[in-house]
Amino acid sequence: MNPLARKTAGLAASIGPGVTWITLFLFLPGLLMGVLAFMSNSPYGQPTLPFTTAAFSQVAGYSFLGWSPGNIEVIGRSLLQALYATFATIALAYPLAFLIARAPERRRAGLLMLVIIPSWTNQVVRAYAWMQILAPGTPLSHLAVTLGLLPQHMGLYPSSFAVSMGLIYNYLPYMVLPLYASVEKLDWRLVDAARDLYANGWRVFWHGVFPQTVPGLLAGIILVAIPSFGAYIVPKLLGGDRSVMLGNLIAQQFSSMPNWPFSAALTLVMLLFTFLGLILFRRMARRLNAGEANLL
Amino acid sequence: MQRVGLEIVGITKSYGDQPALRGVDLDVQAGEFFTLLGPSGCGKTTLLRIVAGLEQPDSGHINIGDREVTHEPAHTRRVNTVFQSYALFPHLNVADNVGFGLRMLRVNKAERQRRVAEMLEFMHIAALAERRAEQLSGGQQQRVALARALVNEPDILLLDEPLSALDAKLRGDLQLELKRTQRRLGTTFILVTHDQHEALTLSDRIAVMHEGRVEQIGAPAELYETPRTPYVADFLGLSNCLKVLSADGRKVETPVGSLLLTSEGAVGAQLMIRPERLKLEPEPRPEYNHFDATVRERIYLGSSIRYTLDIAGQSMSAIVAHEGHGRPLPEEGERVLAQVHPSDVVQLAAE
Repeated sequence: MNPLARKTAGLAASIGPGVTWITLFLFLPGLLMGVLAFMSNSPYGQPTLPFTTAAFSQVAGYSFLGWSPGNIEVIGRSLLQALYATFATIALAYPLAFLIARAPERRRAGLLMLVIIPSWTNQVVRAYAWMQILAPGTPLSHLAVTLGLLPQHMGLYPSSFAVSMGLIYNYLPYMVLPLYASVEKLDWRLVDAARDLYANGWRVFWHGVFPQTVPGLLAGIILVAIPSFGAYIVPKLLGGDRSVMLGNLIAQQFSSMPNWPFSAALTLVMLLFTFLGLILFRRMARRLNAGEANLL
Repeated sequence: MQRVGLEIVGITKSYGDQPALRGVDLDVQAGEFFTLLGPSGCGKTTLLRIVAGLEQPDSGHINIGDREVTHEPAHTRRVNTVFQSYALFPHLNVADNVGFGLRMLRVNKAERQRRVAEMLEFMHIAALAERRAEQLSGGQQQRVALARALVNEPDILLLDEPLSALDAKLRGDLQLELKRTQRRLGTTFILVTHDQHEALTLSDRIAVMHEGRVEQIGAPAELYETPRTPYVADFLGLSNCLKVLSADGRKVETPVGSLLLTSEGAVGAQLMIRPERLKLEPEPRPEYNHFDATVRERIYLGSSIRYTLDIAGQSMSAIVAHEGHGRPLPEEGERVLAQVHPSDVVQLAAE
């Protein structure tokens, strides 16, 4: 074999499996989805010609009955739920990460396990557990009724609130773990430096600690926001008809009332929002990392 | 700039049952370059952190100028630190690192920018203003750290082994620069180091610390020439120590023979002779103490030669300047006459 051929063969052997994988499971399905989204739906729920943008009009809420806000609401609700889950997990994960990272070394592994173990159980089981906690007649629901947050005899489940709880509970470990990794290797000398340079209280945290946790925070946001946005099981089990999220809407189009072009269009819209979110996120990440002199 | 001194009185500090400082008293004069010298674990860094307000002492108090600051937190003390690893903020560029303290002091933006620009100019790092901390070399980081502290015009500047992360050549250059900076600004500098050469080069006065106590305070020459204890003698350079076996006025007996001192000898005391004060010359000099010695080892050090001598079974070091021409220097195995002037024999306090 001549050297060039050998080099080519080596290259093919090393990147071949990866390229094949990406082609088969990312590129082709994506292409298929892109094509499907622009096809018509036959009366039997089969994708068919001609090419049309009807599916996208349907996503925007237009049908032969006129316009309805339903789909837009679902998209908005999904975005909001992802946002809630992200903020709530950040709020919970910061103290947790510090608590674990500052614990004596021999206890850290155990504390981390406490965070991780729940995510080893099946999502469905976890969702059912939350049903038990939030159902009508449970202490929490009673409390909500007593406080006047709920009408008599109602439960916290099913509701958008229950979906939020489920999402936060599900994705908390994915925020805690990367944050913990950042906090654990925190350079405390920067805290000394900030204090020495006249920072006090929260300004020590903001300038001495927070910037160092940004890599973990950013990783956590990606790990929580994207799956929350596309959540399926949690809203299906814990939400009612008024808590449907994108994942449920898409699933519906494949099963009960087949409409593949519509669901493909929904999926593309969802991808679009995810990408938009990632672009915004990158901007923010760059700002955080570049540490513009005045973050706030 | 107003010059401010420091007074440290009876400071103690323990970590658990490990005492770090066992009662330290120090006075640092306004405008002085003062050094805390000692091996790692002697408490020097702990003391510096207590002055900075980053640690609380268990007892004792600290005055900066005529104000007691013992219980003041770090951020209200007009004291800034250059940390050992510089601890620059990696997410900020050089100018923002330097301007950090002024920003925390809520100095308005225009003045802040002016003072930062001035300080960058002063430290010759104006060209680096936009660089991120991690893009700088060790020497540049050191300058930025110094600028970041000095721009706040602190009463006292604390330096925690600021040069230990640099290579020898650069360290030498920056030492001189540090000394000049201190002279020009007239700010009180307190340096922590384990490097005796650095301490001798830079300091107006040095406090040698040992196991949480100050062993001796004095000007570099004073500490080097007349150390009070074997520990100080040993820490500041090489030394030959001899025990006084018996004394008759200024004449004492030691394991290497009899010696004449400039003061009365005390039985049991240690005598210390710096290796470079031991002359190896064939003709006996008048008034000198003489010993017959055999050269055991000869090590070439460039500008000088270090000898290990055997004098009456005792091992002693001598360092002889290498003059390049003139008399040939003794070789290994040669018998020589070792001589020392009585004033170069220092009597230490018995340990």
